[in-house]
Amino acid sequence: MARQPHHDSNLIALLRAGGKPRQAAVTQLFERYALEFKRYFRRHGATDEQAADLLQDTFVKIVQSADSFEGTGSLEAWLWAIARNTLMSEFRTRKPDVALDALEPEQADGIVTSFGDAGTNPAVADCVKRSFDAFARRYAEFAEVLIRVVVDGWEYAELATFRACSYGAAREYLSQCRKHLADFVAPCLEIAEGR
Amino acid sequence: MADDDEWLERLRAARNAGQSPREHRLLDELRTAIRHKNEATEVRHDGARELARLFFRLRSERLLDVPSRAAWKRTMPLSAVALVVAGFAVTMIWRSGLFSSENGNEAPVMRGSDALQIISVADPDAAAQEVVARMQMLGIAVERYSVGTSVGLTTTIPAADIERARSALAPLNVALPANGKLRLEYRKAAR
Repeated sequence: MARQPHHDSNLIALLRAGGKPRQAAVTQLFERYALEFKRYFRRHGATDEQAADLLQDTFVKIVQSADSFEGTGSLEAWLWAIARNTLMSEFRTRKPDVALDALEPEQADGIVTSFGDAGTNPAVADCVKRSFDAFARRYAEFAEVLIRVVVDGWEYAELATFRACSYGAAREYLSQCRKHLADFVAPCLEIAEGR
Repeated sequence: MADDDEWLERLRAARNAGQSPREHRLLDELRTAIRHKNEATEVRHDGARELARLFFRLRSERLLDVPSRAAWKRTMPLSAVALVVAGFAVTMIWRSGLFSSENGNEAPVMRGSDALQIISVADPDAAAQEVVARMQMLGIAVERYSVGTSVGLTTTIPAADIERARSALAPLNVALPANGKLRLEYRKAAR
């Protein structure tokens, strides 16, 4: 992830200013994060309409909370933390279709269990894809964190901000995430090794 | 934990690309699967419309124009002075009668403004519908939003239609800015 502390602090200053500067900052942030936030809400069981409402709520909270951003961490992770809190608040008031990491166990179905090398083996790719889908259904929040790691290049610090936990707790969380994921991906390794 | 650090580093930075063992190639596949999962999440998204809806809500909740507390603290001394000066100026102009209207029945005209008009009525929905209906008769489409019991309307009226639209809206006590940008909010009147 390209770190832009300068740009981030400018955005926060604009958000705090009110009027047209705030409008410009909201527009920038909306264009940058709206689609990703909605995908996040949809992956956690929200309908399109609910996702749109959650998106609105998230941005209202961002504007309301602009003062509370201390500027020591990543603005992006802070924004995601607000999106996550908004989702959790919604879950508390409405029974969710999918809860954060609280689903019934589900195995990766239809995983292919033969073939050889992993290099360019489409069976391995397919296996990993199916396994990750199953993992995401079982551990929605773990999967979300991995998405942010891969798509946005998050590290422990961003993860800690997102989950409102300590740096150490973020490391432990990722360690648990990796262990659970390994169970799901293990069959793919067997395919890759030709077992 | 060191293993986890390395794993995270590989996952986020694609450090293992190229001449890697099978486990590393599996991590490549995992990265691909994760990206695919994100991009394949189906979502209906009309950015422009939803952004307009967001601004409508922010305005309704007085969150767009008011500076935050931090900004207010910085600018308050200047603002206070400006407020006093402006108040004095307005009082002087008001007393001079410079802008008193000669025709009290004329529909209100707002110039160069995109300010939100807020009108309290018993039935915001019906009032908004009346505006929409009148604009539709002129062939003008109006965007409509709801926030709680409030109903908002926005549209930009072509210059050629502004006078006709102004006449149609005047009986409803709705002012049309000179630039044709109508931003109107009906709120439920307190009983």
